[in-house]
Amino acid sequence: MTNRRDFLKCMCQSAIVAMASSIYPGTLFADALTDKRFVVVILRGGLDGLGALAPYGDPNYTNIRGNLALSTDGLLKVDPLFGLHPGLESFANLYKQGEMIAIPASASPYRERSHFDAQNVLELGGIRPFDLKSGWLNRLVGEVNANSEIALAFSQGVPQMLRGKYDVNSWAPSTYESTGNDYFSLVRQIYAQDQKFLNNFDKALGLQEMGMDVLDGQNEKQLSRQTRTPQGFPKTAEMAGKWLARIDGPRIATLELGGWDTHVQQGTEGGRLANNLSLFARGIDELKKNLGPAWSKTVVVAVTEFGRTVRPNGSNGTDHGTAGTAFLFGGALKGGRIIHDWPGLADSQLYENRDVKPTIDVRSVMKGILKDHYNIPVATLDTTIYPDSSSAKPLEGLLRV
Amino acid sequence: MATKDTYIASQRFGLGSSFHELEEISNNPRGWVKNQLNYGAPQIKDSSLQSSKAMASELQGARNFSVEKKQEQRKFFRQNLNKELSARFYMALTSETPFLERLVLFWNNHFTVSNHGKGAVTPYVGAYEREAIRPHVLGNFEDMLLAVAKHPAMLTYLDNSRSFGPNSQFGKNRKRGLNENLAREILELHTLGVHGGYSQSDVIEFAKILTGWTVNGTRQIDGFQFIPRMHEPGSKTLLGKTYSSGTMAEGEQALRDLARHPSTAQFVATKLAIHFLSDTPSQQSIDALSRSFTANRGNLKAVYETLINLDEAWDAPQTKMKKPYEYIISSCRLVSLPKDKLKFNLISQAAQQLGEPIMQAPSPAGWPEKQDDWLTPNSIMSRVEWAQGFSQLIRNDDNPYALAKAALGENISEETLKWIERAPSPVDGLALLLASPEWQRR
Repeated sequence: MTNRRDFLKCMCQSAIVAMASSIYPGTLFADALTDKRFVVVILRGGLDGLGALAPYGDPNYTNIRGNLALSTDGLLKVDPLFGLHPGLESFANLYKQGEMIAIPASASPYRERSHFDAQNVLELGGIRPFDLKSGWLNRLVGEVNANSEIALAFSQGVPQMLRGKYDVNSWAPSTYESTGNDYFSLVRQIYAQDQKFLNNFDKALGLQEMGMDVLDGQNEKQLSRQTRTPQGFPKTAEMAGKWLARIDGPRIATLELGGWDTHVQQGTEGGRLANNLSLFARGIDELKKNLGPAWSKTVVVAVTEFGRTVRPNGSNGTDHGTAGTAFLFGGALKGGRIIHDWPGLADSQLYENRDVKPTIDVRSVMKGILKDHYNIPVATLDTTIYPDSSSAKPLEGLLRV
Repeated sequence: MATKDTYIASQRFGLGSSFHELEEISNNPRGWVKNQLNYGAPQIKDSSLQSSKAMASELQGARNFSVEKKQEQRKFFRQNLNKELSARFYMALTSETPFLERLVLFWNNHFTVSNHGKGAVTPYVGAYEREAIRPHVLGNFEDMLLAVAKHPAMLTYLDNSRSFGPNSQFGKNRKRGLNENLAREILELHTLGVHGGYSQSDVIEFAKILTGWTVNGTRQIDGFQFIPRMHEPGSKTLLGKTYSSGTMAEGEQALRDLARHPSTAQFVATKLAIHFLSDTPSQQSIDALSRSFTANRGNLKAVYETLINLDEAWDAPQTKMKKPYEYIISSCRLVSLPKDKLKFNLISQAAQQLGEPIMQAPSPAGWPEKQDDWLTPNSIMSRVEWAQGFSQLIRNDDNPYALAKAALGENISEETLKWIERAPSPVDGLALLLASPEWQRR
């Protein structure tokens, strides 16, 4: 009795594979014409930007944040106006090394407060919910390398940001304990009669084989359970880093981290938000560590669908707001900066007297990265990647190039 | 062994069949499908299931609930939904009118509501199908459209309960305005279709017509309420026709007019043909369905009869991929899974793993229908893995070779049969059958 791991190994050593290996694993990603890595971390639920990066230099900060104000003493004061949450020490280190940028008061064009619609706008790159049919990151795949499947979603399914007409793949540790003796090879025999089934199954086997390499003997079923919750994010990031480091690996990736919808008891130095921030930070550390030398060619951008209310609500939490904070990481950045056009926290400076007012368009951030990272012409960014967005000019000078 | 007609009846029009049902179908495959239209509406008979009106009442005053009470209530809604979905699954599993169940799934997807990323829909999403879809599956399209547009699930999902006429009393007092979501999706996804000949100004006018259509648990039956003080005053022009009664009748008439529009007949006909026949159905079949829809004034039973009578329905090659939920149900029906053999939460997990979590479509457009949407590395591998796990779990005693012959007959290749026959155990044989292209397609 062998398991899937052995099956895949044996496939690779045996004669069937002389035929199969011409299909996989090599060509899954290897035609990529670029060695630049681009990772989007989708922070689902609405990250409280003020809880992660406190504008301690704003005269109204402590007062308006009430119970949720972070103590100025403990903040990691990377900037005269802004300090990182004390749990984000590793971000502060990246900042010092020039590998981190934070962009407060940024938002997508969406101005209402539904998670569902806000994520749709963030991910599809439209102006209104559901005005587009594909995700902007999928459209980017088409511009960077239309003929090779260079993108991989590290999740059970493909998030809508990466869905569209260009083929992409997703990978997550399998939930199934395959005890399957020759099952896979029998399935493959049957699929030999149906080219579409065979191609797709072989691609899946190719992904699994690389996955085996990345997992390096770790128990897959256990990992699968672990990586389904926010607690598994550092682990997912570790595996993503290993995938992305490979020469024959993906170049564009998505990761997702939920748990930001802190309506109730979100906490300050400790508590719910602090715990999630720590998972976020550990995940970014894992990415850097496992990307190795490829980190220098990497940009990671972490975005959320909206920020949260400036004032605490009645349950020591915050409700859905408007502008939030985007985070950029990576060796390709010209980092060590907080990029902002800070609107202020006085009552009159808030958006609808409750939220941080958006002053930077998230699309400008993405365009700034893509323009230099993948040499995408601005005209393409304004039409194909983000249709009807010429008013959101690319943010210049984000990368070292 | 299943003849081609038996196979088509069982797979293309049904939800897969047990030995027993296959025998019954083989007597008269086309008659077996048609005869199902003579049954009553496929209602789920379970008096313990709660109405959406009851759910709306639960939510009265929820804004002021304590955190604990809110959590408790969310748990109640989740459990209640699970009960609904479980009842619905067992209905499909044991139904003697599987064609009607397929139609229920089709219409539910056409009029998608989903709690994906929108927890506010959870209380209503289970009752929705029982209240708005099932009663009208054999009835008239416009009655279904009205029931859907008035249902709390749809009014919540597409935000109409938050849409205020800007010049209505409430709109002026609260400085609130239109939400176009429901109006747009009814035009684009439920009736005319995106190329059906409407403009952005039609969307806005229709949104005005629908202002005041909202959810209320305290008064009206079914949780629907028309609030005149939210309704935009004045006359509105939708597709060239004026609506100005200032009452709920505006919306009702507009919906009936949309249902009778020629673009709607084309749009619905195309969707039905793509769902049942092929990803690229012939124009001839679409036109026949569209003509039937128009000539019978949206009488769905007549449209289904046209569908069953199409040559393409019985001749088209088996290129459609079953969607995951249909794939799971048909696999369970194939082995006559007894009700107590498999807990519903395993089905629910399976649907999630195979990429179609129940009532959680990613957008109002519903789940996609075409081969390329479901024939991907990910979905194939998860089906291969699920087939094995399922087969190991249920330990079915039937001979998988005989089962394959009976269910697929001449529609399974000699090669596939050979491997099923040679499988090292019945468990592996069944897994191979369920993983085969022939079982995944229809």
